[in-house]
Amino acid sequence: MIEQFSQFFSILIELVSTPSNLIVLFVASFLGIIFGAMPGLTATLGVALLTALTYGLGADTALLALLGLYVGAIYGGSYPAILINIPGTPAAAATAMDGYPLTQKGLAGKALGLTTTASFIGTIIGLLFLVTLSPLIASLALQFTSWEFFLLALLGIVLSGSLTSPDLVIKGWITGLLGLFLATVGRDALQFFPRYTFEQPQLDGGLEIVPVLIGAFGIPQVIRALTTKNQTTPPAFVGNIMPEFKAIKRNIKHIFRSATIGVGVGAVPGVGEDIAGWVSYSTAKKTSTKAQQAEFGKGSEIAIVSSETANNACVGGALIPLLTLGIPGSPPAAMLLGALLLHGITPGPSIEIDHPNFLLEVTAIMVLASFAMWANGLLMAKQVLKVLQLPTALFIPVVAVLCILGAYALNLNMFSLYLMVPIGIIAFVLGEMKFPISPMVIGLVLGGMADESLRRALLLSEGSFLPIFERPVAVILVIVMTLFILAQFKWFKVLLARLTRLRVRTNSE
Amino acid sequence: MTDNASGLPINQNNNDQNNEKGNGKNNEQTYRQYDFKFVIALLVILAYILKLTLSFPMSGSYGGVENQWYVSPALFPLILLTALFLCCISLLMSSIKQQGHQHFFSLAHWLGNKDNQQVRDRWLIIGLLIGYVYLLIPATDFYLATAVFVCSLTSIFYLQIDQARRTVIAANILLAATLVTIRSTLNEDPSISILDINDLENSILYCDLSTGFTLISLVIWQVICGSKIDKPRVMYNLIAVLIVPLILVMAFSFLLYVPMPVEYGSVISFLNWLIYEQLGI
Repeated sequence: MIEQFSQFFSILIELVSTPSNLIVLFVASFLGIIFGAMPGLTATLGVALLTALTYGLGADTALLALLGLYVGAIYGGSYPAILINIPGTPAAAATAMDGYPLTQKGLAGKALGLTTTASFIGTIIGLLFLVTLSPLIASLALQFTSWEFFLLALLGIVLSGSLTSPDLVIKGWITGLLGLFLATVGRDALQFFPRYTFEQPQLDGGLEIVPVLIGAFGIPQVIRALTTKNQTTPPAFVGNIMPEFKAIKRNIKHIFRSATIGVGVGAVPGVGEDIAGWVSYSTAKKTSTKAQQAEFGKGSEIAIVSSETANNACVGGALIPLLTLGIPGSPPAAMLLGALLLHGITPGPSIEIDHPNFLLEVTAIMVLASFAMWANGLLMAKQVLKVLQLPTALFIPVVAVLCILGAYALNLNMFSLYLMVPIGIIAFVLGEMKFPISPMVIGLVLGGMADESLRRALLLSEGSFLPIFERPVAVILVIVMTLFILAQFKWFKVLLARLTRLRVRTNSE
Repeated sequence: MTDNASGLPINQNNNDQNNEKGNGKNNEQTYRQYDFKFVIALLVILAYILKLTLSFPMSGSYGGVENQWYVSPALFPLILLTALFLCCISLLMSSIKQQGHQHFFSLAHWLGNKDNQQVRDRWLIIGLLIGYVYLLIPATDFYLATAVFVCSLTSIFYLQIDQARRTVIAANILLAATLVTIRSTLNEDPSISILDINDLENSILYCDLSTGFTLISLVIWQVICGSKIDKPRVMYNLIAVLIVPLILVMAFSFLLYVPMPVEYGSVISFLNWLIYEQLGI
C-alpha cells in the first residue's frame, strides 16, 4: 500500500514537473469547459475531436489532454444550465432546474461557485472509488473465462439499451444489437473470413471506432444545433465566483450520497452522466425534509450540489469498467477507449500486466484534471461567459468541419470520411425516432469481444453451452440479464406483484 | 392564484397539462408510425443480410481450418440476426396495436412535414453535408471546399438572409454539376469514380477555379445582402467563412502534420510554397 502511494506521488510529481504537461492539462480543461458550456457541443464530441488532435502526441500527454477535457466538459455544461436555463450537456439538465432560479434571483455567482466545488469533490470521490475498486475488479476479471466476457458484453447491451431508451426499451435493445452487428463487419478474428465487406478492402479491418463515433455523436449534434433556435444571452454580470465551502459543509451527506450514485450509475455500461444527475436529483428530493423539498425548483442548493456531484463522480465510475474490463461506462468513455486503442493501450483485466502502473497514472491525471477544472472554473468563468455569447449558428459549421477533419486525420483515409457521413445521418434519423444511440456505440465497442469470446468458449467446450452453469459469475450474469429482460414485460410485472401479495398474505397468516 | 412551482396560473397550467396529454398521445402515435416504417425497412435489410450470412462457411474447411458450427464466422451474426428479428417483430406488433401502420405509403410521412421549416432545414443541412464530403472535398482544394460549405450554412442560419436557401441550393447544385462535369471530362481514366482523389492532376485547377468563383460570388452576395441587416454580423461571418478555415488548414497541415485530402489544391500548394520555400520553416 505504502509502495503504491509512493509510486502514485512519484507519477504525480513527474507529471507536474513538466511544464508542457501542465499547459496541455489547463488548456484541455478550459477547452472542455467551453465544449460543455456551448449548447450543441457535448463531452463525447469534445473527446472525439481531441482524439484526432492528440493522435501524434505521446500516450501520456494524450491521456492528460483527453481526461482533462472530459472532466472539464461534464462540469462546463452547468454554465448555460445556470445562466440561460439551457443545459450545455445532457449531464447538466438537472442542474438547470435549480441553477437558473438562482440566476433569476441575482445569485448566479453563488450557483457557479457551488457547482464548481461540488463537481471538484464529485470527481475526487469518483476517483477514490476508481483507485480502490479497479485493482479488485481487475484481479477478479483475470479469473474470467470467455463465457464471462461474452455474457458481460451482452449484459452491457441489455443494461444500456434499457436505461438510455427515451421511448420503448426494445428500441434500446435494437440499437444495441445493431451496434454488435456493426462490429462483425470485416475479417473475423478466428478464421480471417471476410464478413459483409462487399469486396471493399477498406472494410477488411472492420469499422474504425473513432470515425463512427464522431459520425454518430457529431453529425446529429450539428444538424440539431443549427435548426434549434435556443440562443439566449447570458447575464453580463454574475458576481464573484467563490468556492462556497460553507454550503458544501452543510450538504456533506448529500454530496457523499450523490457521489456514490454517480459512481454506481457511471459503472453501468453506456449509461452516462445525464442519468446520474437525474437519479441523484430525485434521490436528494426524496431524502430531504418537507421544507427543503419545497425549495426544489426554486434554487435549492441541495439540488445543485446533488446533481453536479453525481455527474462528475460518474466520470470515475465510467472509467472503472473501461479500465478493468474494456467495457466503457459512458459514451465519452467509449470515445476514450477508441483513443486508448489508437495509442496502443488495450484496457482490460491484463492492463496492469501489459502497462504496469497504468491505473495509478490515470488516477494521478484525474487528480490533476479535477484541480485544473476547479481552478479554471473559479478563475476563467468570465472568459467562458464571453464564449457563451458566440452565436450557435456561427460556430457550429466550424464544428462540422472539425468533425470531418477529425474523422479523416486519424488514419488519413477518405473512406473513414465517406463512412462517417451516412452513419451520422442514420444516427440523426434514429435519434429523431427516439432510438438511443449510446447502446449502438457500446455494441460496436463490445461486439468484437462478444464474438471472439463466444466462439473461443464454444471451441473449448466443443459446442456445449453447459459450462456457463458451472461458473458462478456466469450464472449470476445470466440471471441478472434474464431478470432485466423479463422486467420489461407487463405479464412479468403482474406475476411479480401477485407473488409479492401472496407472500405478504402468507406472512400475515 | 398561481402554482408556485411553475409560476403559471393553475388553470392555465391544467390546460397545458391537458394539451400535453393530447400532444403526448399524438406524439406517441407518431413515434409508433416511425417505428413501423423503421421496422419494415430493417426487416428488409435483415433478410438480405441473412441471405449473405447463410453463405458463410458453417462446416467443412476454410483457410486450412476444419470448421465446426460453433467456430463458424456465421455463428455470432446469426445469433444477432435472430435476436434482431424477434425485437423487430415485437416492436412491429406494438406499433400496429397503436395504428402505427397508418400512412405507411405516404412519402410525406417518410420525409417529414414539408411545410415545416425545421424539417426542410434539416434535409438541407444533410444535403449540403453530403455535397461537401462526397463532391467538394474529393474534387477541389480543402480550404475552398470548406469555405463554400461554411458560407452556405452561415448565410442561412447566422445571417438569415432573405431567399438564402434558394440561392445557396442553386449555387451548390451548380458547383456540384460543374465539378462532376470537369472531372468526368478531364480524367485520364473515365472509369474512376468522383470519390477517388488519385486522378486529379488534370482537373484540379479547373475545379479550384469553379469553387473559388462560387465562393467569391457567395461572399459578395453575403456582404451586399448582409450589410442591409447588420454590419458587425457580416464582419463576424467573414471571419468564420474565410479566416477560420484557413487557420484550421494551417493548424492541421503545419502543426499536426496532417496532409489535406487533396494535397495539390491551389491554396494548400500556395501555403506549402510560402511556409517551406519562402519562410523556410
